[in-house]
Amino acid sequence: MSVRQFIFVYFVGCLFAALGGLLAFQQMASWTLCAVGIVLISANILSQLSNRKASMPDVAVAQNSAWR
Amino acid sequence: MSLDAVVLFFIFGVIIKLAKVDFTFPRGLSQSLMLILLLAIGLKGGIALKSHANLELVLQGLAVVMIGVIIPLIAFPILRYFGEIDKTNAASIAAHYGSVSVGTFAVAIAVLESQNIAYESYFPLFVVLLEIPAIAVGIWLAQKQGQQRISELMHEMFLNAGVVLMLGGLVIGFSANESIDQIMPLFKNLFSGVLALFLLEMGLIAASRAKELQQNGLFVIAFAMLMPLLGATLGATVGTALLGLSTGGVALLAVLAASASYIAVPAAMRVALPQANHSLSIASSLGVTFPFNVLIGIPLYLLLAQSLTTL
Repeated sequence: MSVRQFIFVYFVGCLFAALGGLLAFQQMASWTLCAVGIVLISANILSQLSNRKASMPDVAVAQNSAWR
Repeated sequence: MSLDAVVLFFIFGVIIKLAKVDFTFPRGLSQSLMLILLLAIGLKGGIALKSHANLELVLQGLAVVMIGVIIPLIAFPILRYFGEIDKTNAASIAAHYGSVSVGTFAVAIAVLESQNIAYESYFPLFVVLLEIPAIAVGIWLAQKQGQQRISELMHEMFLNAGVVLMLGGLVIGFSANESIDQIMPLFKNLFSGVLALFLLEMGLIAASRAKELQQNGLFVIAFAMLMPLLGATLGATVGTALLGLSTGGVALLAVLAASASYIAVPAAMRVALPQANHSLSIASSLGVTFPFNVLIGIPLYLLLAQSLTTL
């Protein structure tokens, strides 16, 4: 996932969470919207962390090579 | 919780493909289903137009057409800049979001009737009107930087099979006398059955090309849930400020603007932009936007319509 995609998904997640939270007293569907927003934010961050973790060994190998 | 039968056919198609069942959807049947669906939508709109034709309706129709033009123009830069999706696929997805979902419209009608909220009866006409401009804008967006001549571009915009079949249906529905009742069972009564078979094939296609969706998965999901909110806000604002519709009418226009096509536009895009990844657009419009609108969107759009019309 690119930086732009990460920012977009993060923005949509925050928007849904805020909008759902604000309207929650009026509509049950708003709770779901809020929950969807929180899930989007979490999935986005987890996806970014797993991407970073996957690329870590390459960085480590590169650093080792540089030391040698 | 029970799901709409036509949506279950889509899921069934996905399961068939994922389970690697030795089944191929007949190509001739696939084309026949598209033909019936596009003509059916056109015919319904033509019949509605005949019984409600007046100048005010023409002006309302123009405003609705503008919504169909504006939404793809909002969606396209989001897909290109944030999604980093190639031009053809971005144009194809944008066209889906500028167009409408008959299934979502049917659910919204059921919700309004269950709550005894009145709405304008000629709304099927707007469903047809919203199908056409988005297809033309989608084709234009896909090719505007190409080397094609204007005449070729205009030909693809207004004379592609999807637009011609729907417009043909609209003209026939408007011009025909009572004899149209004899052919309507095919286009009206069998509509849901034909739609179900069409979605079965769409499920097969979406599952077979799921790899591309995995690449842009989270972005496509977020986009497919943001666009309905943007569309609904635009639709509700136009319905209240420009058209002066009733609360039910504003809610229906919000639903139409929020929904994404999974019937007419996929059919038209397969003809006009065969190189596009149709599983990406179908997965976002049918797999995310449709359930989002049905489960979360429609109650919120109704709340928005009630708030705007009581201001």
